Amino acid sequence: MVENPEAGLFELDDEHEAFRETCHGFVERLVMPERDNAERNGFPSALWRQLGAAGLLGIGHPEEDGGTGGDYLAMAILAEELAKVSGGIAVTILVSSYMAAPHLARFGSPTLREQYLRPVLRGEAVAAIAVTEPSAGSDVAGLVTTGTEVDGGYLINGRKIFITNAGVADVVLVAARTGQPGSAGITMFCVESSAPGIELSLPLAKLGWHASDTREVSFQDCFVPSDRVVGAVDSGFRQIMMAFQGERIALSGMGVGLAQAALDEARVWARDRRAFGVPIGSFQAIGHRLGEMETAVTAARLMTYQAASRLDRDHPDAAKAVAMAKLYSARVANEVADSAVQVFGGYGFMADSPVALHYRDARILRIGGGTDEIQLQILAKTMGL
Amino acid sequence: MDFTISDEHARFADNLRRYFADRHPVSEARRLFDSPEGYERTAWRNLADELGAPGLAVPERHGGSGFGYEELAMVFEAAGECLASLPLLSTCGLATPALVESGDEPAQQKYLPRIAAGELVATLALTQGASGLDEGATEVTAERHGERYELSGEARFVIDGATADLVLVPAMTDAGLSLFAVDAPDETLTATPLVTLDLTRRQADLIFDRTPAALVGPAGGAEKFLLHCLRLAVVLLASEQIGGAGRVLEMSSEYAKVRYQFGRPIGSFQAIKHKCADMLVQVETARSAAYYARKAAADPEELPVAASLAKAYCSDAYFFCAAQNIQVQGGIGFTWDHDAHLYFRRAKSASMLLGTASYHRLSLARQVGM
Ligand SMILES: Cc1cc2nc3c(=O)[nH]c(=O)nc-3n(C[C@H](O)[C@H](O)[C@H](O)COP(=O)(O)OP(=O)(O)OC[C@H]3O[C@@H](n4cnc5c(N)ncnc54)[C@H](O)[C@@H]3O)c2cc1C
Repeated sequence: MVENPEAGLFELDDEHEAFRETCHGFVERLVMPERDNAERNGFPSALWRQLGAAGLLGIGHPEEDGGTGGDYLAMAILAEELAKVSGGIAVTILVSSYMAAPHLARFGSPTLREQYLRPVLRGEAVAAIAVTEPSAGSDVAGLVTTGTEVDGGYLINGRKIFITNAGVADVVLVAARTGQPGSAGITMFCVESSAPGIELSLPLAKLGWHASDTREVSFQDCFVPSDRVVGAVDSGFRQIMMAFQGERIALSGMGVGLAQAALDEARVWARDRRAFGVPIGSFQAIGHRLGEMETAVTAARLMTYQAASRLDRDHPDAAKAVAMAKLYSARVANEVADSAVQVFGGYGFMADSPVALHYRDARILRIGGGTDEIQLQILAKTMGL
Repeated sequence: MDFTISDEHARFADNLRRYFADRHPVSEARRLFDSPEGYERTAWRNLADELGAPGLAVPERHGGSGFGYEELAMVFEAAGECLASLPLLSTCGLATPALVESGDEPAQQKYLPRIAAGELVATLALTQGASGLDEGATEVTAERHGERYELSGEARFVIDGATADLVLVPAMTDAGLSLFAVDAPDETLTATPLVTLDLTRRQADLIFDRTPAALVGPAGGAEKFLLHCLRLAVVLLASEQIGGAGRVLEMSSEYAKVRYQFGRPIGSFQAIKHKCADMLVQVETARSAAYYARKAAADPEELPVAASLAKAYCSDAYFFCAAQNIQVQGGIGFTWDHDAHLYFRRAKSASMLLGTASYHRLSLARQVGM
């Protein structure tokens, strides 16, 4: 038999398993105790430096910029462990380091990396990414915020919506149109949130992700010096699509973590809650439902890890694997959270119940970072359709 | 059974829809989020004055109009369409049938005219769990002291439990399950309002601590009429669900036509078009079940099957459509200011009230001898 170097037991290697332990320990010690507070009052800012000191903000980023080693698989594991606590807390962290910062890491000049990336990876600054607009969501190439060239830089004008971390960010990665309509005329800019000409709305209240700050961001003649262009002028669309891969791994990991947490709660409840004189888990309607949940979570996790590993290795099918994992784990998160509420009965419906939290947080996973339909569209394309 | 909708009913439905759209737009439900009661007494009284809605299923001799559950169900449908914040399910869905079916003339005389006039909010204190009215659903016991009774125990997740003037309580006595009336507030009755996912309908935990109560109907044997009255409530709730499901379908198809991405309305993509079509199939199937159940409300033979059928279909359809609607709306559907999540929450809570879809499927299986 020929040894296939890619074959494995479909288990994490020791290094990633140890990393999970690290994440889990950190989360239990420093994040879980903050959950209730964060859900009510927003993300606890003291957490940033603790995350930075633990190396959890620099995974996969270049070491010369303060990165802490590791790969997409490790980042997926971090996302999973964070989302077990709260989707809102998880996304706040993941957006800064793994959805916004990668633009700087991959395409930013040495000066930009020194000035903005390094502090973000240390937890001394927070980043946001502003692509979506009122009229351009799924259709990124349709964005109409303009970046008009002027002496020494660009003037940004337009309106961005649903921007995670907008109210807490020090730096915002902004997509604006510098050239022709369509995908070929978009440029990424690195904008300080205190720059004149930026205006933030009040936080948007949401169905879930209560610990996360989401706002509209408007730009009115906001001047950005030329050296704050990230990557090449007019190549922003390609950069966004590349960064989407990591973003989707993070969201996929979040789906797995959320589902696992809901499942864990439901399992304990099914064991301890009694009706008709027996634990409810001994009824097939409940026991089998938990079996379905366990199966779905495991499948979603395997797909997420495979997609992350393929991305780490530049596998030819990486983009396909990422789309499938994002699609599937978002769906699983919703189904499993729904089942968990059902297993809890009326108690699961109470606003303060942990399964209600996961239920609220699950819904966005099928919309943010590219909707289900957009993932399916990517898949159909990779299938030659 | 005649399944056609009479002209008279069609006109009534039109009037109802107009009334609710005018008086109870979703913005009203939002305005009442922060109010302690969750609804307004004046609005409730207006509904009685202007539409006679609370008295539709109340016999004429008790001040009602003596119509039936079919007409009342039409009110529930229109109310469900706009998430009207009113004590409809508690007062008209649960308490009224319980009083009517109890056969207790004096109790009816005492309460029904005030219910019909929109002066009294009433509820049935039955623990609302995922399993509906199951054997031993009450944890309240009644102790007899001469002609009076005292209730002790707890009922959880009671609809409008913290605001009802009349709390009807199923409780165990030496003679078996019996129904009692408690006039609220009462210092021996502790009501704890609950914060639940559904912001448009309130629930509360009630603790009775030797609470004075009057027997309603016979001592013992209340299961029989309570079960019937819960089935009527299920029919009404299913109507409310179909109202909501129809509305979210409308929201989706309207948005699909006006939202442009990639240079075309999103409704031109099959992913969205087919979603709307799937929703339509679900809504129409569920609507058939709900309308059948409305008619069957007057027929005790057909009601048990019809009620469970309607609740099973309408719960699934409403939840499916409410979830799909968020998907069709995209990011905006996840925000607080958009109404999609309010329907989503209501769909979830309604699916859990008075027995989940699985509970009603099980009940159907039992009824056919499985
Ligand atoms: C809480 C939250 C946080 C967010 N954070 C950020 C952020 O930090 N930065 C950022 O830039 N954006 C962010 N977003 C925006 C998010 O990425 C968009 O909401 C998402 O891409 C969908 O866009 P849309 O909301 O405009 O929906 P639309 O694009 O209008 O879609 C509406 C519906 O049409 C469907 N549809 C669209 N096109 C097609 C097609 N071609 N084929 C089939 N179906 C289609 C969609 O799948 C969806 O069901 C956030 C959104 C939310 C709600």
